[in-house]
Amino acid sequence: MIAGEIETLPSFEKTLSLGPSIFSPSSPFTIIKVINAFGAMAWFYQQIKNMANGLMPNHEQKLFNAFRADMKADKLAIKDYLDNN
Amino acid sequence: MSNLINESFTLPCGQVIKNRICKAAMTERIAKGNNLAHQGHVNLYDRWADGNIGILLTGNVQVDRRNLEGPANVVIDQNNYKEQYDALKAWSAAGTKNNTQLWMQISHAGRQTPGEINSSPLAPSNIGLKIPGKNYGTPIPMTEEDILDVIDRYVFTAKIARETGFTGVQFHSAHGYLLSEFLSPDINNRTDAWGGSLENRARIHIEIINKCRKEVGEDFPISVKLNSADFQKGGFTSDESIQVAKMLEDSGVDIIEISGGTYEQPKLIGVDDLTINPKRSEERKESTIAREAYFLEYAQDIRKAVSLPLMVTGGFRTKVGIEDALQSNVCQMVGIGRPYAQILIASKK
Repeated sequence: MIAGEIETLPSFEKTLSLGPSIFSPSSPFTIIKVINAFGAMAWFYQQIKNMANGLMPNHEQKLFNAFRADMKADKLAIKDYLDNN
Repeated sequence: MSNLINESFTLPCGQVIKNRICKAAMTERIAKGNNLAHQGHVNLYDRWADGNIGILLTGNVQVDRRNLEGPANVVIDQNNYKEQYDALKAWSAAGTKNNTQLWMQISHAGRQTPGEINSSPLAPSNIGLKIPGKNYGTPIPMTEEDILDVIDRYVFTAKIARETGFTGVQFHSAHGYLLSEFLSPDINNRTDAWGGSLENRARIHIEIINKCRKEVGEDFPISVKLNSADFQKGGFTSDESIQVAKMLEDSGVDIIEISGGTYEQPKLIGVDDLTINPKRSEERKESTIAREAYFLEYAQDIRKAVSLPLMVTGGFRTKVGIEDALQSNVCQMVGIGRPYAQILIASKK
């Protein structure tokens, strides 16, 4: 956009969802909404971690996979934190 | 179409920003060992700095390892700064390529510290946070000594940021972290000099900024990320946000970034139908929710009260939307976060 090459930035969040209908971010169930919201955040964390590791972002990653991967990474990080503090 | 996006502008401290786009802060959560910066931060910001962005804001760097937003946050304190001094220099060298500004976002998670890290985090008062599926402890109200210690920690981290080559700092007072907790009357129920009136609730901000300015000098950009509102009944209101913006301007802040929401009301991620505590939720107008940049409306009200530069973050996706916001003079910078979670626009290829 700064270089004048594109007019619109990607909106990954629009396609990130646990699933259709009641599993979507507009689900009537709060817990599903929460998982969708925090799962989307996890998806972005995963892409940042990929880039920090010298890898390409994985835009094909599913929200739930990202959510699980992020939870797993968080557990390891908490262990690392507790070991160091 | 006009092209304000590519126009430089000068901050009150005299520093020149080469264009109007800022990569907003996104937590990296990649620190290792003793919460240290490392090559991963260099890799990330090296890529982003290739994108010709005006300002790169780092993810939240914490001032106190007992009160983190996440376990792998970078922490800078008296005990570990020497250990990561060279890594911080390498990080800043990568992030300041191509005349890019690299500002360190400095924070303390307060009551939003995960319970696995600290079941008794420090906060203004003992009002805890409840989110389904998440574990947060009951906070310990900070003593006067704790508050003075935290102020010194913010200033120390800013000092190290400058020493190691970062070109500015941003104090995080949004999204429910410690500084914004002080501002919220429903979270801060103190009756001493740090609670009650808005002046008292904002006191910690002014103390940090005044001390920081003395430490880092007149030419070093100091920014604050401020909630436009908590969107919670009894919380920090948009009228109060305007008044705090005036206080920040008077204290010599160079630019205020406008955002909004908390973990309980996560408008910061553009979610309006997620209400963790329905009884405490405040409604927003449909027109506000629908617009591309959902905090711009609040920034318009703040702009009427202050003349310092403003940055608005949240929801910008089109060049037309960004140019309109800049042309309106409501904001001088636009913050963009999530689109930078990919590499194609992060590098100028």
